[in-house]
Amino acid sequence: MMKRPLFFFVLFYISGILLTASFGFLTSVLFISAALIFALIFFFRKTSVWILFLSFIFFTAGSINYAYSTEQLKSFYNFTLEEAEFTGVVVSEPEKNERTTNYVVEVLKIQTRDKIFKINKKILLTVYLPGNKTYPYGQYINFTCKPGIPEGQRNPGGFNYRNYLAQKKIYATAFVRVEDIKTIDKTRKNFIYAASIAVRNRIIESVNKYIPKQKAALLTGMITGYRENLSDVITNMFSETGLIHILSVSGLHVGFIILPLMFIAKKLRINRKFSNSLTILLLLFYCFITGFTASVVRAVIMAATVLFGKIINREADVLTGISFAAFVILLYNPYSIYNVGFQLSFAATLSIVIFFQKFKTALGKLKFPGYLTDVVSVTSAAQLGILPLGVYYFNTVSLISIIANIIVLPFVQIALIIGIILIILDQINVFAAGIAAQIANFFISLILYSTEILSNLNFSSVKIITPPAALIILYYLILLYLRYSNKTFKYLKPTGLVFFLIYAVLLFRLICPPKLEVVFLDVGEGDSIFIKTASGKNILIDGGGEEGKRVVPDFLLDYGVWKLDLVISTHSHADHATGLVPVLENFRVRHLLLPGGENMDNFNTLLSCIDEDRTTVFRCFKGSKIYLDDKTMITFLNPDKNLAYSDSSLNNGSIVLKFEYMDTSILFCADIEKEVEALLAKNGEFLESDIIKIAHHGAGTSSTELFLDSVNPKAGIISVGKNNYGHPSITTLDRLTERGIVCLRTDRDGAVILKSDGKTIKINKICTGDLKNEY
Amino acid sequence: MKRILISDKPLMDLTEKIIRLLYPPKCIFCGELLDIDTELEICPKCFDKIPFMPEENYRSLKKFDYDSNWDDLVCACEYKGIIKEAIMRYKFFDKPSYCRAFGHLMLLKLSGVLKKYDFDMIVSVPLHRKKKALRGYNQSLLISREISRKTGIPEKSNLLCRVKNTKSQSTLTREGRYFNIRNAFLIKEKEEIKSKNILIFDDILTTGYTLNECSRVLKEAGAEKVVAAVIASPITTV
Repeated sequence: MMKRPLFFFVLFYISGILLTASFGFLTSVLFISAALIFALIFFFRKTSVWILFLSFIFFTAGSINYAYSTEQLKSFYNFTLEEAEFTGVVVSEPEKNERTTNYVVEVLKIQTRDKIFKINKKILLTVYLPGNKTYPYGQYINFTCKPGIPEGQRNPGGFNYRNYLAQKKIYATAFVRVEDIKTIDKTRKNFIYAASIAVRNRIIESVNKYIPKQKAALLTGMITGYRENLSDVITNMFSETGLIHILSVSGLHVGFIILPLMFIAKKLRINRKFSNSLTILLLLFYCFITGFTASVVRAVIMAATVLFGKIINREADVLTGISFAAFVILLYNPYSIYNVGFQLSFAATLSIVIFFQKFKTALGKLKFPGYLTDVVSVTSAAQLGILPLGVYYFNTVSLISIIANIIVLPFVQIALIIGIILIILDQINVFAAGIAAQIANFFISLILYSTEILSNLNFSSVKIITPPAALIILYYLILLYLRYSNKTFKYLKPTGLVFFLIYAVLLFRLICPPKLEVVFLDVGEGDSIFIKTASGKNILIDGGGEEGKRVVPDFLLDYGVWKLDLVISTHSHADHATGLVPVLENFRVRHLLLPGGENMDNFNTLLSCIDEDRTTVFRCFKGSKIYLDDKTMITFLNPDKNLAYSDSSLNNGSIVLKFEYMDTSILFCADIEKEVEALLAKNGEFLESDIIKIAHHGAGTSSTELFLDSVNPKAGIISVGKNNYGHPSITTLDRLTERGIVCLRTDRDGAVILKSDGKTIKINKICTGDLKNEY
Repeated sequence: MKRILISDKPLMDLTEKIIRLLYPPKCIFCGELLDIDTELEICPKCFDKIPFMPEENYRSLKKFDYDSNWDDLVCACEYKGIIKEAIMRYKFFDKPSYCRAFGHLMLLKLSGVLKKYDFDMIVSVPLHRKKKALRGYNQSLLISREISRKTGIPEKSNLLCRVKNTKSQSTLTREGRYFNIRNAFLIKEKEEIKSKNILIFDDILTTGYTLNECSRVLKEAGAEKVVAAVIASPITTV
């Protein structure tokens, strides 16, 4: 710690951010204060007092900065209720889509009906049907709208839009028709930013002049990092082969800027301090051109640290440089910690720094040729670091990335150099540029061609479920252990480590035995409920509608589920069954359960996508029971074998089931209406449950008083989204309140998660993440 | 040899601390990181390997086959082993950061003459403008600045300038070196030099011609005492 203090200080800063993100500001500051006092008392050594103290300062700074940024999220909360007039300045280039154009606007003034607010926060403005109208960077505009707060995370593993925009310091969204925007005859421009936009457009223009569209998009993407014009097909191709990093500007590019400049400066015998300073300024400008993505900022800061070190006669330390880069980025915006690009970039660089030499010496012994050794070592080292992140975020692992990099990377380097030459030549001589373009075109084609072949290989990448966070941490710990085992952990033998791990896992199991988990997913208007029993069986009840097609598979992968023991389709209505299609297609489903009363033809879409060798289809009636294990049981209460259900009353024919785990029970009512409820109520005592999934998205035609009284639940969960039916109805909500039933709604609370240890049930909801109620 | 710390000020100033945060000190020989508040950028292991030159050896260096123009000579190390490697890196592989460690090593040996003479200024053997541009820094100047910073003796290398872009001494024979370096230096302001005690510094002493020539012009300009100091010399006895 005395040797590389900044590295540890930045670790403290990041801990401050992470701890505040998970436990809140007060808890983390109290925690670190306690830790500081503890350290001062027990490790009191005169020399390290200021190090301890600075660690505390850095931690608190991270904590404060994160808490402050979180407050910023609320910037527009007060203006979401009614329309207001916004005045602001466009601070981005227009981003054109098919029917809309997006701008980032820095709002300066908000005029509500009775008041004027001064503010300077960014908003994402979507202009609907803009025609040919665009608003250039720096333009003042005025528009009337009711801004929206971007949605946070709705489901476990789901996308967090609010967080995503907060990474760019954007705190609200506005959707405006082009007629409602007035331009004000006034501009405000940052000279450097305006210049960088001009340079970027010039680059794109130059390349497009000579090279066909898609290839030009690839080349400009490689040089500027902007990949808007690049088709998804190509992007996917690169990501499947583990080559996506060539599309994000990073150390490679920064190297291409520095090395030729240094070479020229040396040849021209320019004063080195001067040339170094100039290079630093140029790199900064490159940051502007490439839009300050985490990877380029990281690379530039690291390079600038080395260059500046030469100016003041200091030798840079790579790890310190990396930490400094992380610190600068997180100081500007602590929310960058959530940025996938940030995480990948730092994981890859750190990993290269730590493992490159190891790989190189190992390969050197095998007498590999020089170029191969370097590329293989760099790629393998980088892959080691980003592997878990790739699995965590994209659920894919590229199996051929090392080979792909060996093959494609040299072409990329040549294409990049020639691309830059092309752009410079284009400003001087069109003919010479044309020749350069031919060469560049050739290499770009080579890149595309080889990447396509590689991505078409069947084994190029595999889909993998998201590993639990603990496993990822374990992975990194083992990596570090392997690297430093002969130094730091001298006394910790590998066998000892294995035993320790097994012991730790057993202990963990003992302290927290597996629980029953029930997740009511937020699939908009529709039902989808996932159950994981304490013995590890996976059950899915319905899959929601169109939204479910995306949400449910994502959720399952994220939850670490690749096989489902039981899928229940309660009835064939679209808002319950549609989302099951991708599940049946892509996951291993052992049993599919359909309602006995309904015409089987209604399920043709579902039945057509199952593999009959793997999946058995059952139909169920009232009275059927499934014993999942000796503590867990499902009892079916509907449909009744003795009743006929017409297609017009599918809701009443839907499957109702009571799920029991030891002393706790949950009643799933699907979409039944008052008729069936009345029938069920006759059952009397058996109906009684701790939790009820409110029937039919909280419709007023269900959840009758008699029924609720017989079930007598402590909490009710309503699966509901935006709809035109008036779900959930006020009468239902009132009935729940009258009976003191706690009501949770997926439209407000996001996914609702129940955890039962067999005696009590804990309810969590995604939208606040807070533990709310306990029974 | 025991480690001696010249400076007895443990309190580094704030800027130095901040710089060290970003550029943690490393051992110039093995590259290992050192404690942030280290006085010397050399690790204890490497320190033991430094081939210090015993005083009687460099005393004998003074007896050259020509009349030396300096009044005293200090040579810190023998030009071999890790010192040789480090000086090569320092001069030719863009490692200006070594200047602090070398300055410190030099100081360890300078304590004797510092007590004996009351120096008015430190100068270093200048590099020609073009050569400096190529290397990016003057290796001797950086070290003499370092010594000046630690001792408080003003650094006035700009008084001495190189008017002849000589060939590198290290590429020449003994005879060639002598003629190569003759009349290569000039004093800018002779008034400043007059009756002053001067410490003149260079990195390596091989034949002594360079330092001798510098001492000559300094003496001619009226310097009272001239003491030459070098980091290393390949000559152990003459």
